[in-house]
Amino acid sequence: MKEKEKKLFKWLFGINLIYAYPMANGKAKKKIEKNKKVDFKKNIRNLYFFSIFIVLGTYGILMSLLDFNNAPILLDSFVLAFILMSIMQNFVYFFNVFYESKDVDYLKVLPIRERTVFLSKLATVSFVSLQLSLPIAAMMFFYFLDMEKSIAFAIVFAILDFLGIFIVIIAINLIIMLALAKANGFYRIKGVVTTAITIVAMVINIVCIVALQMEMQNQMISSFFKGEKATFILSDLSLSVAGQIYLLGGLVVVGGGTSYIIYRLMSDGFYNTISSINTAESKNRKAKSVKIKKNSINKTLTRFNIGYLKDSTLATQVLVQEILFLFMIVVILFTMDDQAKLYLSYYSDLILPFIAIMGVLIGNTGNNIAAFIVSLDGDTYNFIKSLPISRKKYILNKIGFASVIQYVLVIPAVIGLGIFLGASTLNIIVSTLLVIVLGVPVAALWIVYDVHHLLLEWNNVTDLMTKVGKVIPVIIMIFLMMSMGIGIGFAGMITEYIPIYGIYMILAAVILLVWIVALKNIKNVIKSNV
Amino acid sequence: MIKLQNIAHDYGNKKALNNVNLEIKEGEIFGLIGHNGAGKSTTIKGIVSIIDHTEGNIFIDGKNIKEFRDECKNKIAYVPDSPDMFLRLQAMTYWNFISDVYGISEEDREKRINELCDIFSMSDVKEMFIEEFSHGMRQKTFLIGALIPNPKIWILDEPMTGLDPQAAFNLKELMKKHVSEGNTVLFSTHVLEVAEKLCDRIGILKKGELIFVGTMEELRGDSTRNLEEIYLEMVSDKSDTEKSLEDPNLEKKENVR
Repeated sequence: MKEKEKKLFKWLFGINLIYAYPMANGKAKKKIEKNKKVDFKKNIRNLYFFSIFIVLGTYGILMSLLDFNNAPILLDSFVLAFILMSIMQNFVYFFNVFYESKDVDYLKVLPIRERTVFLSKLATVSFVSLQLSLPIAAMMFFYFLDMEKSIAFAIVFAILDFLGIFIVIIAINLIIMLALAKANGFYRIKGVVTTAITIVAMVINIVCIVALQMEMQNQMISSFFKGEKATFILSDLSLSVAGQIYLLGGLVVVGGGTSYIIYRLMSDGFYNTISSINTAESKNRKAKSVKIKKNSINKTLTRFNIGYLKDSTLATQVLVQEILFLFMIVVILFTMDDQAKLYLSYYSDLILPFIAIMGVLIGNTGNNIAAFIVSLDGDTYNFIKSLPISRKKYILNKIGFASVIQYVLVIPAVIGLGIFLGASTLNIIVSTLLVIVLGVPVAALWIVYDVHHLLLEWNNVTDLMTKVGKVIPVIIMIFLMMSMGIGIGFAGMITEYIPIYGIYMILAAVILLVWIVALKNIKNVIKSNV
Repeated sequence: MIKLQNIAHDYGNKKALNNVNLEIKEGEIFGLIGHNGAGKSTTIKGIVSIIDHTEGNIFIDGKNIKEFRDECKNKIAYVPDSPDMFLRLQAMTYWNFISDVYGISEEDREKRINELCDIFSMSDVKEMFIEEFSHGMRQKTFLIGALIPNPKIWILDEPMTGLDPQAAFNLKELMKKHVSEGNTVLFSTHVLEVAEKLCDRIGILKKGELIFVGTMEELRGDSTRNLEEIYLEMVSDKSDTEKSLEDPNLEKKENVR
């Protein structure tokens, strides 16, 4: 790379990072307002290392509990699960940054090589998504320790293996993007394809994780009882230095080679691909005849919100967590044995409302639509403030829309689960009402957060979805899922100590408290004209 | 009709407006002039309720906008400086929406939309998506939207930007007609010729301070220089002594405020 291109690459990479870390941007704005010196590099570096610390800390604790020594195959299964999860999580992000960013129109007129722009985007997505794949490093580290390797060996090879695997993840994401970009007629059905890929990836993930866990159980049982220690490619190659060298060599050659070939294939026609997407999109849009007639403001505002969901990546992302919840429920139902079903049915009076609450919380971990539905309006938000639309009406409309979105999949999941478990009609109704009653204040609180952390100048919807941070929502979601498992497991014990009506009362009190907090905050937001 | 009383606005430690006092009367076109960052948009955004100014009060027809926000907003039509909004809507859907916001009857809105589309040559593109429009067409879309309800006060932020000569001419005629009916137009501009030909009075903002309010004749005073030279001198950063040496009338003009 020539000196000038290197310099430009650094510039673009830096600018992309500012968009990728809206939190750092927000901090900087506050500092500028106070006439303080702004250090973007430091802000982003702090956020980045904080995320790394959180991911490694959380997964480190979890991984240290696993007994790799007795079941080395755990490593293969978990690493595979995380590779799949990383691909799924990164796909929409890759697509948004490469093909949906508003900046390309400005960049293409500048005397910067197309490849430099492409490379800077690739560097940004790789840099940002690296954090989400870090659990693999934690797993490798504890695997080596369990296999009685030295700490130095564990650290060095955990990092190297992680980087090697990460290159493969990037290569797979690039292959998917290339396939989509080259697929004939893809653009016309972009929405469907993007949604389908995300959903299919999610189903595969969950099925794989469950299947792997079942396989792991079998392997562990055979390890304990027969003394056999089953290994697979990764766990086997990780036992010796020579194996590690083969592994790293393989990862670098396959992942790096593929990435390089795809980079060469994609980077030259980068601008053309984006133009094709835009042209095809506008050709595809059919203008309907609009009649002059009166509508209620609420109806028009709702239609305006629904318009956002025509953006396929947004629609997909908005429903991702709910879909995840739905599939989790489906997988649990189809994989549990009779004893488990009997347990769940017996305690369904407690378990079904509990799952309903967890459904709402899992749907609200920070990258849900309520957390950015006001920011989504961009410049329009300010313009709406100038119109004689009451702020109350505007904010309540946003709350209503964000709440209904989360009901779409959580309510059918709860009803379906209730019917499957043979829960009483009253229990199903109460659980459904719980979703509705809890969903509103939770969405309202996220909208309060959004109004106080407005991001009106966004580049693509990923900027908005990662407003809270890219790592924190994932950590919260995993924590909630684990809590759900633990909660269900302890349902029997809890009911021994507290009568079911006592639990209902506690739940009602907590929900009331959430409502009070939400109402107070929403009132302030309506009053404030922020 | 519009009264600004001791308006100040801070963006953190940066003072965007400082002690702005201004009264815009019925039946006048008032132009806000100033360099980039002088505070034109901040002033306008406060009047149209996009921001709440840090200090001071704004009155529309004698009513404080902080207390009678919705009532005041009903009397104002606003065109922002950037027309990149509601991009996913068709132009007609947007106009229907605005008509609902201002409570315009179906008959009236149809009449107004058709009239304004004819004036701004938008009749053939009513059903198109705003996203597909050029900058100028988007500007026309929002102008039409603002003019459908025809409220008493029009507030236009850089309204001529991107308009073709015919549309710009038609808009100026509409502005004149609007004030001739006893209404008010407030607009910001960088183009001095537009202000000179159109405005009954102008206000010049410099670094958040209103340094001149008056008619073009008052601005010109006894000076033989053209308007551009006078304006540039007023907003330049030269010391007051230097300015007075170049134009002895300047001190008098600054006292107008």
